[in-house]
Amino acid sequence: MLSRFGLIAFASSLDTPGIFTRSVTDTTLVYDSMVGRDFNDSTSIDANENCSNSFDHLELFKSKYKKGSGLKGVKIGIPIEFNVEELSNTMRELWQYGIDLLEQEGAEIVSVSLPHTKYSLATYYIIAPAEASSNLNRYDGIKYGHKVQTKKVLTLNEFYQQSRSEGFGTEVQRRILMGNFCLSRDSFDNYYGKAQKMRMLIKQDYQRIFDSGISFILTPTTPTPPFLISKQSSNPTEEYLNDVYTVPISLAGLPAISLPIKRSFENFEGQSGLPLSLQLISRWRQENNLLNVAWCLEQNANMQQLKLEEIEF
Amino acid sequence: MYRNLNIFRSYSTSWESVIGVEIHAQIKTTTKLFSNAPNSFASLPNTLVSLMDCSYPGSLPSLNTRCVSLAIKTGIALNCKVNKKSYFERKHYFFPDLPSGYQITQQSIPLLINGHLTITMPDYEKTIRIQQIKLEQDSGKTLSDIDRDLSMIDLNRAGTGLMEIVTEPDLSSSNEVAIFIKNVIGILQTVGSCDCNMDQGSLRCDVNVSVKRKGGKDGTRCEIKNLNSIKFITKAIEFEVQRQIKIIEENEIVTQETRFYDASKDITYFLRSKENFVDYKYFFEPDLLPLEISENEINSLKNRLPELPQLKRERFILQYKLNNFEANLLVEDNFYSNFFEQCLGLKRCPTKIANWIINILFRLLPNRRECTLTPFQFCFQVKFVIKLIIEGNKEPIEDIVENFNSQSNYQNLNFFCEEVISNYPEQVAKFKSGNINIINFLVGKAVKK
Repeated sequence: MLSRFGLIAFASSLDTPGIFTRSVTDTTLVYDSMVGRDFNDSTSIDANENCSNSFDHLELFKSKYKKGSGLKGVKIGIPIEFNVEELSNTMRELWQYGIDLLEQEGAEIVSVSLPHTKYSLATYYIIAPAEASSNLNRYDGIKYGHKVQTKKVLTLNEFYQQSRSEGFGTEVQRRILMGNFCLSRDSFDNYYGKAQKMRMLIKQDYQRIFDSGISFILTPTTPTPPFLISKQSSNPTEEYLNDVYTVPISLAGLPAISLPIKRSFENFEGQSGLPLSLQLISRWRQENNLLNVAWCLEQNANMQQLKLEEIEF
Repeated sequence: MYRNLNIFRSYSTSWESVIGVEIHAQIKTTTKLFSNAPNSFASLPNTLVSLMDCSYPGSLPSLNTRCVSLAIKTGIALNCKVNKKSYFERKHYFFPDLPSGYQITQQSIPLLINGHLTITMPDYEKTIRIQQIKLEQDSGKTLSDIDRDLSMIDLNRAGTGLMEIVTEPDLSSSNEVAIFIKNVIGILQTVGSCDCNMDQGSLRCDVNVSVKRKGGKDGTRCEIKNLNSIKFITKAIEFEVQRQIKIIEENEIVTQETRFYDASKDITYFLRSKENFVDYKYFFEPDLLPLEISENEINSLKNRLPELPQLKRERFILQYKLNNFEANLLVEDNFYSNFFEQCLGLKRCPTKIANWIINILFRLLPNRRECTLTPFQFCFQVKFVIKLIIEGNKEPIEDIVENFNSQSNYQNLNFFCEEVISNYPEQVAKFKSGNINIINFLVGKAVKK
């Protein structure tokens, strides 16, 4: 829906421009200006009436909205597999809070199952680094970008190795190496090949849910409240666990919006007042309706604006 | 001398050559395969480069459908099956003339497969199977001969569409390869999908050569690159076959390698070993959709195919009563088959015209591809023919006349022209030294006759 032309490519089949705003209404404005087929991006498609002019659709929705019954007839799915051990109590309570908010507005809450959820992190961390390693091949120091500066005469391979080692940070190098491994001839079938098949199964999980009458899925955005920079984990795999709720949506290629619902009261690592977010997911090409319901959630949550002075980083 | 003896020796001990050919043909479109930069040969370096061609961050490929149409037409002309759904893949390797670090090509499921082409040799016919034809990007050019310390990269060619035509190893001699490539060139030019200009690099051929004893098991094949003309291809194959036979006869083993042909020494030399195998990490190109062709599109392209060389040759033989040799020569190059038929429009004598073209025009033109005569001039205007004969000057005039006389009894312009030229050497010399008007004197004499 949104063209990738002009984005520095990371993982082509997963990349999409991300819209950051301070309100759902603002999101509709930015989205409307970007949506549609771009001939520069062969994988972009035309928008239909369910996923364009979202601002006008939202205005219409707002004007007709009746508090207490605005979401009557809307079925919201709660995936049981997302309720994992790693989910902190704070976030679990937030999830329940969001569910209650929507139920108060007339929505019907349904428990759903997405059986392949537990494989999504592994699938993502095979596909993304594989495609990224390919897209990053172009940064070789020859035509643009960082080039090794040395008086020594280097062979071509040495030139590439040194320019790229100097130019790429640790995490990028890690992902390139992982990606190269997954795409190598001996590993391809077991890693990239299998990951693509699993991706299809994950996508079908969501399709089945939406086909059965569920319009939206509600989940926390992250398993824990935001971590402080000073308290960041040094183990990259632990870091990757933070993506566990957003990664399956990315693999399935579904529209989703994450919005802050409330500030944390409980002391999480000695902090309070941190913004906690929930994620709403809709079926493909239903962005207008997604934004409508997101607005509804935003209204009822009535999240306090964050003041940076209150937080110790 | 030594080499010639070897040829006799090897053929007499029942060796067979097993040869396969890979032809890279640049697709004749105004823009490149995935970018809208112009596709042209002679331009200042790095002036035909779009963001996509130099892999600028944020650039994405956008398929030029005309390339697909031309490739499908070529494939149909070569009796291939069209894969209604084919995929583009990325082939990764690092080299300065490959800006993105990967080439967009087709690997597992190419556009066209399982074709064939029947070639007519002097004593027999042979069908050569075509394994596949795939679409891919051309790389840029690396020039190392301009500056001693620097390699210069010109990306004008980067991203140009290529059809890679791969045969099964059905060819058994350098002659067969030469005829096969000429036939393919004829088809490509007729369909209009490639210029087939080997000097300019719009058609490049690599050959895979191996030898085996008759009835023995297959040998190891070597790939030969840097073959810029059909003549070099023939010579390189002959050298390589000898080289491999010699190795095996000395009880050594032929190693699988890539070799380069050096035209000045008429040898192939080792470039790189195939045993250090490169892992290209192929996977499906995520920036492009699968290439889907409908039955209707295929039929529409099939109906728009012009008359192919094979059919044209048969028609020339049937309709104009030409013999095999004449028909073959005329049909080889689109330009000359058209020239021939246009001459027929002016002067109705097919065998005569064919004769003139083959025995006079071809022999006198320094380069067959550069014929500035029009059919009208050729048929009627003595002036131009004389000029050509004098400038051509490849053989003594007496020989040409001799040859010509033995082909036909008909008294015609050219015969008189040649007589005139041999009778007035002074005037010919004057013409050669720049006195152009003297030609009128010669013309006058010819007309009188």
